[in-house]
Amino acid sequence: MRHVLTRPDTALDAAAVSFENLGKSFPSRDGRYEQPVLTDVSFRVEPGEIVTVLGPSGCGKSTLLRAVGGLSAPTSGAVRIDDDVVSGIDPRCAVGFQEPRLLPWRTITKNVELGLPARTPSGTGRRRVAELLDLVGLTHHAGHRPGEVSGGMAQRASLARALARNPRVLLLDEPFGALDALTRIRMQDLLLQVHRADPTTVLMVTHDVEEALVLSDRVVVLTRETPTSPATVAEVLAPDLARPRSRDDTRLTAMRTHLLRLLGVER
Amino acid sequence: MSTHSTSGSTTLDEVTGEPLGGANASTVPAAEHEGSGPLPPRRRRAGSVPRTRLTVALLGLVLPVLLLLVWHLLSTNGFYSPVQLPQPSAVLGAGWELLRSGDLWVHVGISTQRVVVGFMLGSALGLAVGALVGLSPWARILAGPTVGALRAVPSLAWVPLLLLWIGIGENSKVTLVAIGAFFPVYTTVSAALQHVDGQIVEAARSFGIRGVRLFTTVQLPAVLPAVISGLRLALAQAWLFLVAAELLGSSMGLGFLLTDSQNNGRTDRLLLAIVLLAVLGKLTDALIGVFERWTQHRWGSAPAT
Ligand SMILES: Nc1ncnc2c1ncn2[C@@H]1O[C@H](COP(=O)(O)OP(=O)(O)O)[C@@H](O)[C@H]1O
Ligand SMILES: [Mg+2]
Repeated sequence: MRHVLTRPDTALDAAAVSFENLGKSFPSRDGRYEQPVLTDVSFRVEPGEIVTVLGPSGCGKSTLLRAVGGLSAPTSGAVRIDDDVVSGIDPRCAVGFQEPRLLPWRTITKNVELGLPARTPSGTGRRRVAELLDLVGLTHHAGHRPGEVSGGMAQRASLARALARNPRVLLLDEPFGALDALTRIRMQDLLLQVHRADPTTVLMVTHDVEEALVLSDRVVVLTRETPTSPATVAEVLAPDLARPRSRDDTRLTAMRTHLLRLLGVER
Repeated sequence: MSTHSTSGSTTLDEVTGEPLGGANASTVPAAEHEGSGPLPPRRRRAGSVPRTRLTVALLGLVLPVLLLLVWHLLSTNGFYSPVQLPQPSAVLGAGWELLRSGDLWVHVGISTQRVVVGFMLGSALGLAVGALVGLSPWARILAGPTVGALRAVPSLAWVPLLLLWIGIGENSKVTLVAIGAFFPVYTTVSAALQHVDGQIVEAARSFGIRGVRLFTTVQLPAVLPAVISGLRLALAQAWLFLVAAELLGSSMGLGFLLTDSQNNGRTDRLLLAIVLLAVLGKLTDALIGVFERWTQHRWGSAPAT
């Protein structure tokens, strides 16, 4: 391997994430009642695992992830990182959002720097950012601003920013959803490579069944009875296959059909 | 779809498809650069609009020279009496006269000082209060209506109170100028802050950035174009309020020069004061342009909003 992401000296052990009867509701549009979105969600992500959350659009996947990151508090139940109940933005987590969310006036390098943990010595920080930019293949665009690079590049910069935080839990919200098919596959491979070099816990949201099957140790399927009822865990599937996996492995085909049926698509 | 390479020897060039230097530096994959490729630099307006700085500056002088000519004609052909409209050369002469007596610098100096001090105070306060009201829902609920009501008072209405409270000295003039500079900055900053992209703010927060650092890293750069245009308006207001303050009671300054010249029938000096106000206004505005370029250099080009 030509580029191995060196494990930073500050590398910390991956953390476990547990959902304990998590429920979340939002005030309805007119504010007259509470609309439940998630109910009684319980599962545990072991340290170093890659777990994907799969579910139909609008079922509360982002809401679930935001609860782990401390970006919004659950209505009932709790999320724990290792043994601590999440009660605010947690320095152990880093979020890769569905959109790149880069600061448009900063260069790619400066944007990635934003992810560095507080009080990183500047020399160490520079080296780490350069290494990450190399990893995601943006070295030659380091000085560009987000508006001057393609959507795929911006998304990679966003991933690099999350990795710069050296997180014990990496939260990814449909990070590759907006990419073209080819770039998506490259990014998935990249994620696996990063994980191999530094096996942190990855909790990733997706609505792409194939992505879930190719990447994860386990797939958590969220479903709901009707589009207005709250979602909960329907099944946890463990594709017990060594990675990297071939996308046309027949064992995956069967699981794909099964997952699609769970999500209401008959084949 | 493509089969994943099964060995552990995947190179990054395969993984990301990006040129990373070295042997493969020229292999750029088609997929990423088609369609969503880097945007071309913004093109200048096409056509015959002149480009070079010098031509632009010279063309900007065409109208003033024409005005000067018309002025000269009107003042020499008997259309206006010299008291109504002195010749341009008479105005120049008045300027020379004041320059030699040293009065010119006194008037220009004191007026500029009042504007600069008042503008600095007013716009700094406008930025602070605007930031508070723009960022904190509580401040917006509690203070928003009050500041809005104060803004609705025509600012010259404060003059009698200022004279009563602060007296006729420098402080009351500077205060009036500061009031004039405060509201444009307050209004633009508080409004712009409420429209900063919440997603970017949330992303920054998720990386542990908060408080003052969140303001200086995300919110302030995001509203910078609004801040600059607020400062521009504030500066114009500052000059307006300066003249008002000096017209109403002072013994120095360009506003005083205006009333004094009017009382003594010195139309040449009156016109001189107006020309000086135009020049000073333009010069101080240019300083804001310098500040704007500095901030753009510091924070990068202003975000597209
Ligand atoms: N801040 C919010 N206020 C009100 N409703 C929200 C908020 N965030 C999400 N929702 C609602 O919760 C539901 C789930 O949203 P989300 O978690 O974004 O779904 P997903 O990511 O699975 O597409 C949606 O119906 C959405 O409208
Ligand atoms: Mg979502």
